[in-house]
Amino acid sequence: MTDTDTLEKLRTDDRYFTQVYNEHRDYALRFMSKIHKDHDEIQDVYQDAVLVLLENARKEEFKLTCNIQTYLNSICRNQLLTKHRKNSKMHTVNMEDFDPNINDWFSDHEFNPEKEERLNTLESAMELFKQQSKKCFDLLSMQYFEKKRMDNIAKLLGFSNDKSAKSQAAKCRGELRKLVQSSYA
Amino acid sequence: MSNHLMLNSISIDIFRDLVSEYDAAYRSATKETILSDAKELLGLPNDVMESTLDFKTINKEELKETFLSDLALHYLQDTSTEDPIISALITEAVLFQPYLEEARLFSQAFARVHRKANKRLLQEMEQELEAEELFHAFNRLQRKENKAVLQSIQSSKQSKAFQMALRIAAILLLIAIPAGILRVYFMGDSNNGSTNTAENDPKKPQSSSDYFASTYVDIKLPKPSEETSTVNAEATTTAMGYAKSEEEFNIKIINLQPQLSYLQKREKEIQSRINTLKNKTFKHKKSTLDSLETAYTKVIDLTQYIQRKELTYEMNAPKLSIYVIKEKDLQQMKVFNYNDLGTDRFYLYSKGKYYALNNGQGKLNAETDEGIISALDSKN
Repeated sequence: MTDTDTLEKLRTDDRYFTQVYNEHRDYALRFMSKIHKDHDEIQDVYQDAVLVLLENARKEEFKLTCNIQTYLNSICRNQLLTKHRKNSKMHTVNMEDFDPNINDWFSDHEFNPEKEERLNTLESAMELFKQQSKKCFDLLSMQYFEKKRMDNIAKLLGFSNDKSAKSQAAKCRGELRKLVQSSYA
Repeated sequence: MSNHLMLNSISIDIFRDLVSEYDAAYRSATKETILSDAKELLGLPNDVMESTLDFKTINKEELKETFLSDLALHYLQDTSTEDPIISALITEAVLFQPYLEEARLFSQAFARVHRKANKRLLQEMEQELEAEELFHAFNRLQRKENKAVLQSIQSSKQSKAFQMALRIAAILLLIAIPAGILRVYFMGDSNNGSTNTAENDPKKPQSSSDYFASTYVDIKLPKPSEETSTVNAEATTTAMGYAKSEEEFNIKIINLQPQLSYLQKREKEIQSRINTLKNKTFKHKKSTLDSLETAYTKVIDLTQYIQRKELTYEMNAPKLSIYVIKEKDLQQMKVFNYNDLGTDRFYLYSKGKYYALNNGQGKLNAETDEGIISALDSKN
């Protein structure tokens, strides 16, 4: 399977990222272990790198400029260097299998503590929303996160038509707003 | 913007759908009417025509809120839109901004919730992969270790160092003894891990099973810190003529603290891994956990072995090595030769106490004989 096929699978198959994780894991972990010794941290960074790839793959405008292994290595290396820029224990090793120009990370990565705090509160509220109203959560999630078309959402969630799904989405949004407001209070 | 484009905008479709919920007849409303009604509802400048909406039957605030939320969501997905309503709303930022901000936050928060769930999935998968690797790593290490012990036994020349090495090998059975660990124990680890040699080239094919699992089972003791000094061993008497008044001693302080700290860290790591894996279901669970438990016990054994080495010495006069765990001040140490009885008997002085030294190995025990202490004090 080519990298282009892999990207296509990542876009369409919800669980395919676990396979990508497996395929590139050993190489990426070995690559990082030459730079950094804490293997729990290395695993954590690699997991995040795969999730960055997954999220980016779902963006239409995303273009892969190198192979997937190099892409993951580059994200991992960059993150380790960023996290430990001042850590003298980091080893600098000259290896070629990364692209220094790839600085991809989660698109919502925030350095604004105020916004970060709001996002954390919102995230907790959404976890609660998911428990309380799974169908509403799925509906809004498809709208806001997966950015699916309403006719597709209607089909996937069993609404009679897109109008009905849209109407339900408005109600769900109202419920979520109430929950969020009570979380901020 | 042409009138044609304006009238094919998404906001017109959204608005038509929303109002149709209240009034089914609105579905057949003209685009000009819809555009005018939408602008009227939002309080935007409206030069198209008069609004036709009857707000007695429509919840104005609810309609406005839903319309703005839908437009914000659409705008996030397509910021290049030339939609007439959205363009006007961007100019009227006060009205639209809160909805845009909410849509952005919702979008990011949903992404995080999904990411967290996916991360949990990867973490669980990683634990299973690691458990599997541990199983294979233990198997291979056990084979390697058994083979090494058998080969060692075959070798008939058993020097003292070899006997000691064998004892440690027995203690460490099942824990990986990577190439040179025994050498490492006695001579320190020369591998700093930063050189990209052919051996550690990540491109070199390697089976996944000897991969991260090895970080749990490999024991790579760091080098003990060493300090050396030369001191003169002053004799308590030179009266008999044959005795040298001074002999030059070479003292080496070997501090085992780095090794002890390393082992204590490994002990915690292995224990933590055992606790994690206990709650998981995976292939070969029992044997993997058994091996980890054994590794844990062996790390404890090695820790205790090192702790027992504290304040022991090895002497082949005039060479003296002292094993310590806490920092010892070498500058404060002295060596005396108590030869009042006609034979050389060396004593190490440290922090107000005299320790008798004999050739070979032993534990540092403070001298209690007042006569000897008094004779040594007279030279100190």
